[in-house]
Amino acid sequence: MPMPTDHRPGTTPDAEPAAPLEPAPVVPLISVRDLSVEYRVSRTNSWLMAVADVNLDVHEGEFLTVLGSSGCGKTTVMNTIAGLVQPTEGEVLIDGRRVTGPGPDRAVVFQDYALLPWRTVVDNIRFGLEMQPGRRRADWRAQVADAIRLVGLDGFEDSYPRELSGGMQQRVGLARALVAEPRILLMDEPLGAVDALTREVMRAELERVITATGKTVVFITHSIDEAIVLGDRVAVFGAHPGRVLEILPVDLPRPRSEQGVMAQPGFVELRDHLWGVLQGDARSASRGVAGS
Amino acid sequence: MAETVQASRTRPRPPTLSRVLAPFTWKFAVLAEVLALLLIWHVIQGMIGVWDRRFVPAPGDVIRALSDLYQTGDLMGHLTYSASNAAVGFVLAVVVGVPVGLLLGSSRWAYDIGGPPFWAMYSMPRIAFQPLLVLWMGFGSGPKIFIVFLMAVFPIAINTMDGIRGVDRSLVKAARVYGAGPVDVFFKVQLWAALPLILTGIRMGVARSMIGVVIGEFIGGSQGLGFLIYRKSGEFELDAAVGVTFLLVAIALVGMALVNLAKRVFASWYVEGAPQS
Amino acid sequence: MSASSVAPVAIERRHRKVPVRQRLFERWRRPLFAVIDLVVIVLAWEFVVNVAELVQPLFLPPPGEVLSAARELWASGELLANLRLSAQNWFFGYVAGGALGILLGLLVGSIATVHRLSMPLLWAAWATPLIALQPIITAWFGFGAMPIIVLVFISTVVPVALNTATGVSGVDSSLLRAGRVFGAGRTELYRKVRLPWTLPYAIGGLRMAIPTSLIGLLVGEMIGSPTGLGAMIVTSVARFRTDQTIAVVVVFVILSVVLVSLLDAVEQRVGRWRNSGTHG
Repeated sequence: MPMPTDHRPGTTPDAEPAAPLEPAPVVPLISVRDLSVEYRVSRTNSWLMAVADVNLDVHEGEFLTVLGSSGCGKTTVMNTIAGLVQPTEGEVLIDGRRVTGPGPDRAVVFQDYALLPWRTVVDNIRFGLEMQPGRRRADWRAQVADAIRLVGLDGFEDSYPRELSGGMQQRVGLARALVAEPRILLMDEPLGAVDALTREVMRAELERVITATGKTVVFITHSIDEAIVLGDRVAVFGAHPGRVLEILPVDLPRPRSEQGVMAQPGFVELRDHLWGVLQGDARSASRGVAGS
Repeated sequence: MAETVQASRTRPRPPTLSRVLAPFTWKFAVLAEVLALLLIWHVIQGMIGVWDRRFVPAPGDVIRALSDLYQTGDLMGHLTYSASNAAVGFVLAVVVGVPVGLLLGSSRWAYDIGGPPFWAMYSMPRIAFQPLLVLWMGFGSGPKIFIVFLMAVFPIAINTMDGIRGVDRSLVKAARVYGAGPVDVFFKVQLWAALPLILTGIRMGVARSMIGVVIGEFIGGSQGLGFLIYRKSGEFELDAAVGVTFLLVAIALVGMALVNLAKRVFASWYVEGAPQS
Repeated sequence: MSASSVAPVAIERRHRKVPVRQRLFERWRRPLFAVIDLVVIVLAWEFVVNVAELVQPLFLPPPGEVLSAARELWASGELLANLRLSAQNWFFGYVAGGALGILLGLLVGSIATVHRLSMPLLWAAWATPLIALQPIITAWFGFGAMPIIVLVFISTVVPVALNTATGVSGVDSSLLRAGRVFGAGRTELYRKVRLPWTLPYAIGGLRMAIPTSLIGLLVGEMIGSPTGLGAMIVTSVARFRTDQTIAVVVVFVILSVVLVSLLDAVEQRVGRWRNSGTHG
């Protein structure tokens, strides 16, 4: 089913494409259209609008960070792209084809790592390969070894997840995603459960590994710094219900996770701007609740 | 200077006897405690004779009575009878309890339909049915096996249900992301994740099935360790009765230790977080 | 209606209308299925015995006969008299066992060495069939109420002591430190930190002891006693009055369900501060 690929200017805040891309209409790799998702809350037996009218395009090779406070529905958007959640309204297109479920073209790195505790590092990384019927068993060992080297897990091949620190566990999660060779990497606050110092280190590692692989990435975070350092563009989300407030490009030279980058005027300006957008949304939300 | 400090820190310390035994210290202490209690009992009763020996036997009497029972060949007959009934009933409980728990734990429909009778049966004092079971199934092994089954099946099913429900949902999500279908999710994720709790249920089932053995032989029984306790007490041979009771306790503890061993082998990755059971 | 008004406005505005029938079904499906289950089971029971005559009524009396047997037992006063005796025996054993269990648990849990030395024994006692002691206890105390009370007593002591000891010994050490920082002395620390912390555990032990103590009661009455509900079960089977047997069993089940839900309610109230963190 061929889908219309135009941007429909005026309906989305990101009508103007990011500066480094060609101005001609390009088929975005990921296209989220008029997406709304509702959940049934079994405790109160009512429906909750988690995400409302989200429109979002991500192009091949782009690193999009999604910034928002916790519980603002950004994870729901990611789960919909992953095919774990069905849209209530609207749709998600990958390469113009509608998403109906998980597929080998997408891999997810989870905030809580989601590693199988009864499998060693190697076996956990292998999991993605096991599930894909087309893979040749003979290649598994080499592919897993490559991934382990890439994320820096050498020497921990036979450890169990519980024996690893949070940062190391997330390296396993990343390796598991990379070894499945997806076109799109979906990362749900992958550094959210990691301590602050490790987080800095891992952020730099992520920038290195992912720019090396050239993958398309959707990266969810609630850290403004992280959103700027990693993203080619930043999509800011508001809460209750989750919706896109603003999408803006980041025109800072890479690699950005080095010391000093965060002190550059461009960086500071962006950070202030994003902070203002988030604050404004939080303030209007709290006023809305108080008024009821 | 700094180098030598580092070196001494990384070099493994030589194992000394006390260090090797350290993890077992408290186990030895408990063992010593039990022996001490037996010794005190022996002194009070066996040497001083505070109470009537027929009513409160001394440790020596108990051991003597047990070895008498063993030598006449009585003990082994009763033991095998009880053990085989218990084994059949217990295996039946595992074979039924685990699938039932899996079904109730993973399907909302199954739970809504099957839950009420399940919990109703669970909340009943099932041993109250023992006289009826004897009426229905006769004086043979039937009711004895069945009551063992009834006692053991519920903890096994309930823990299995809790186990399958408690599976970390992000693990299931992750598996689905990497292309696992329902069958793969069940066999590669849910079953494994539930295994520690299933084994906990099985361990509780061992303990409960011993209650079943005793009740089954107390009411309408003519053989087995429970019956032996009953008969020897009636004949005021309390030394033998106490001895057989201890034997039952020992069997229960050994059975549970075996399940613990299985847990350590098959679920070695599992770290007990909150206190279980 | 009342549930959704709690939610913030922005969300409420976004609420989708759920068909009324579906919403009613979702809310009532559990009780609905339970009632359907009950009806189906009673009908099947009736069918098997009375219509298809697959089982002789002697072995499994139809529901109607059980009901009339219950009415008959109630009218003759037999049920009430035995129920009172059972309740008495159970109450004495349970209260004494609960009291001693809590004391024992506090002792075991408060002193580290005692804790290390006695917990394995308590666990072993919990794992073993204590009712196996019934014949021996009968030999010691003779026939009558005493062996029953003792059996209920020991079936109560073990779970209560075990749970209480687990509670006391598991007090969050940072709470104790905080108490000391604010100048609490030894006794105050015990009264204001350890005991409140332990209370839900002790109640939990009492809750766990309900089924075990009822098993103790039943075993005591079924084997060594001419009176009580347990004895009624045994004698009615011996007289082939299975309708009476099932009536008594049903009374016993109701009794145990009432006791369990009573303790559950207490446990919920006392342990509120423990549960509040689990959903969120």
